[in-house]
Amino acid sequence: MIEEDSLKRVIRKALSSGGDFAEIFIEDKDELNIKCSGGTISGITTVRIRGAGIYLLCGLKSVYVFTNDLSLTGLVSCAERASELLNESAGDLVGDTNFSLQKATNPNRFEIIPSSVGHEEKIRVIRETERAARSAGGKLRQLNVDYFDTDQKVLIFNSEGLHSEDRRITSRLRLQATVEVGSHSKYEWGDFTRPQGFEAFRTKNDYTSFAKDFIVDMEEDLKSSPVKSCAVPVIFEAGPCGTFWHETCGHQLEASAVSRNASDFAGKVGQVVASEKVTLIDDGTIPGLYGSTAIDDEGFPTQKNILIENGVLKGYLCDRLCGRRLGIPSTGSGRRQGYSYAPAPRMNNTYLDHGKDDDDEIIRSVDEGLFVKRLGGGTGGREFSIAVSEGYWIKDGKISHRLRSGFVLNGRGIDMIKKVDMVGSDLKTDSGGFCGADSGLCPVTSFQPRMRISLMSVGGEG
Amino acid sequence: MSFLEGYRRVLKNLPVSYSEAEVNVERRGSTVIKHANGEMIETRSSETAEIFVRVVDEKTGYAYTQDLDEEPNYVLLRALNNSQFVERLKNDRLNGYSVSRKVSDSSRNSDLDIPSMKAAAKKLEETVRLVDSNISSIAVEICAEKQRRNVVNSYGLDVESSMDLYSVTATVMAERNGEQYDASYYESTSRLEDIDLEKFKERISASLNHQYDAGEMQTGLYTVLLDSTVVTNIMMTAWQLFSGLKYGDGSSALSGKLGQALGSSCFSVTDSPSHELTGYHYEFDCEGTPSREERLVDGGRLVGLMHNIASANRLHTSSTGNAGRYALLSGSIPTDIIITPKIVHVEPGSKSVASLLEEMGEGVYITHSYDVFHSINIGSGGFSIPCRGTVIRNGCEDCNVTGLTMSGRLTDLFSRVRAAGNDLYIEEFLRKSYCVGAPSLLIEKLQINGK
Repeated sequence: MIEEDSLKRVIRKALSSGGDFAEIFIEDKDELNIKCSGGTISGITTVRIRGAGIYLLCGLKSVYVFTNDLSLTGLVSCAERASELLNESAGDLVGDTNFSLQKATNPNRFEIIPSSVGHEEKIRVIRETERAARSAGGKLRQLNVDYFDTDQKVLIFNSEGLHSEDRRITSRLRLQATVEVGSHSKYEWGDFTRPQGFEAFRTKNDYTSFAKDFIVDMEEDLKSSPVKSCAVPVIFEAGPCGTFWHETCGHQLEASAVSRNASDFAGKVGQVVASEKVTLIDDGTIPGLYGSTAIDDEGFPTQKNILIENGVLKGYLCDRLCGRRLGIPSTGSGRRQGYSYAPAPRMNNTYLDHGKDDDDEIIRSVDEGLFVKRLGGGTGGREFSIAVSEGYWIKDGKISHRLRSGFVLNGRGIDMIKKVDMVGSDLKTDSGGFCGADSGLCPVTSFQPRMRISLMSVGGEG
Repeated sequence: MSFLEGYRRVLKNLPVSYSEAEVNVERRGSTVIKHANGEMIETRSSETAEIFVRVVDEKTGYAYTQDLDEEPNYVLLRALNNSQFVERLKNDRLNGYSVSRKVSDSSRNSDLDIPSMKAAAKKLEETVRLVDSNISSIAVEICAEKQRRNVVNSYGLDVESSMDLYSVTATVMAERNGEQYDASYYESTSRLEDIDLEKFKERISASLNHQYDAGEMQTGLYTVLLDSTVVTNIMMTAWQLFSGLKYGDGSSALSGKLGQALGSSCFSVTDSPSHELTGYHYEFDCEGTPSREERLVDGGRLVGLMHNIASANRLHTSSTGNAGRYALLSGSIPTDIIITPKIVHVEPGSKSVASLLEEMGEGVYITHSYDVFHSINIGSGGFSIPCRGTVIRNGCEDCNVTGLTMSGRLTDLFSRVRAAGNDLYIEEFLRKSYCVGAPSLLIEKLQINGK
């Protein structure tokens, strides 16, 4: 533990040649990874991450310096480097900062700390997952099951006297398989993610059914038929199809995109930007979700942020620096993978709020169209693209046959969200995954109720 | 690097409970400046060291730390404890070379000159601003990077390589008829004075011009010119086809096809330790195996694979110096030794883009593509990649089109390469651990889905 006096010294040093704000972010993280390849435990790695970043702001300018030398000498040298890089005229004499701990409770409760459980128990979970995947039938050309747990502790101190802490624990299984059906084969990966300690594996059926479904789904996908290119109504199923919102407008609602004029939503607060059926929210406080934390990585408590309400743009996701650039307060959205990244505005748990339309009627309303049950990854910006992992054709108001995955939906986000014409009443969450952007990989979720887009281009196979 | 001396001492006198051990230290220092609209807005700097430990007895165990104060003995013990649970026997073999230290030239950029970086950023910003009157904002990022890698093992291997270079990216925002557009271009170089300003102008101007006033296009089979950035984007994922690990376990669409024809005679792929078009160069991989040039596809025939020691042993061949750690789409610290390229690239041809367009006559010039990570399946080779481009008539650019998806199978794509351009483009990738590159490729027929 670094002494408080040492931290004060580091802050003073960082601000010694100018700057109006300094922050020290300290990370101490342990990870465990167990790999099972082809039925045998093929590798186990323990990981220890330890380092600190010093963040210096001067008006709208920022400097970020990081190191994994946590000695006082290392931190002071880091602060000196930050001060040199800012290179402003001499700053005001900085007095002593008195840190005051601001407690915030992580919405995710941890019962069994991963390090308290031996490797044997974790290997048992892998074995059960492996067996479940192999029992699902299908010709498995290759199967890997990897186990991960992480225990990240963050400490934040800043020149405004803030001292804040958070502990984030996650558990994850990653399945990678190559499945063959006839002359066709495909490779796929899928994650079972939980913002929990080892209690995530208390109910065997949770992870074994995930593994079975993963293989069965690959097999069914290989037997399905390709979709032709078309423009049709598209229904996105409740739950994980929230990736649509993450990619179509979530990234563009991050204040970093807005402040560099890379967003179609820039300058449109108060204006209608989407169908009136759309109320879009990002909320880092929801218990049990992968994207929830007590505080963001600048020490602000996470909060519920309404981004679009009944089609009207209400605000952006903001960190401290972008807040300065746009003249708005932080929304508790300054996030980073760890000490080796400066904070940036990022999503936590992004969701489309429920509507009033009947879920069955949404399907019945389509004569011919696409039903998307699950989305894969994607990219966002002004133009988005998302891969469909599980899609079905709708014929005469009924779900007909499955479509071969791999096709993508793409378009311009701000145009697409104007075409939302039905939103169901049953909001379902999702287990979440990682979002990769400027400040590294952050755990997120995105979810929604069942929703219909009146017309969308589908990039098929002919 | 005093902590490394501690590890060297332990490796020299390895306790009897260990048969072999290896320590790989990756040390990075970087300074990044971001210049936007006439002023410096952001600076980042770092000095970090990562220590990867592998111990092999009957089994292999790994440990990783960034805690420089951790006792080397303790870190090795963690790895040894982990190995007790491993079931795969004698899988990992350490590098048996007994090579003493070798330091590559790292003096070029050793005294970091921030004023020169600022001046270069300013000059690039001014240059780029002139390319298009619709440009509303510009950001230039210059990263000065120093990387040093050590691999030391209990056999006496003790190698060191280092690399100093600059990565330069310019990103512009433009506004035309109320619509917003963006474009960017990237280059890496060993010296700031080598930044190719003309190339930045040319590529950013072309990128913007290929986006303006885009319309739609009918679905169909088209003759297509894939821009070098588009082919590079595809290769960012498609290089995994040539991974010896994926080939060996059947998860590459090319598994079992070594020696067979998979592409046209105009299609060749090489993995090189260095290239004149980039400041990156790789002397050793993370197992200490010397890097060498490896031809993977020669005139359309699959002739080589990328190997680390384990994958090479499995296929009874030798490592090609492709042991790496950074996997695509992995959310964890890359402690495992996998296979990664060095500078993997499609070999260029002799024709300019203009002459390839002329040769194409009628078709589509695909100028931008997005999201190849999720839209290429390495196991099946299938792809469905969102993209945009420009319709070509009589060998000339006619109109821009967007909302497209190109789809097919990678092997079909490779077999339909009619010509490769002379415009090889190389980009760094995945925490700068390797580079990927390609020239523009003229493709006989490709399914393009539009309206």
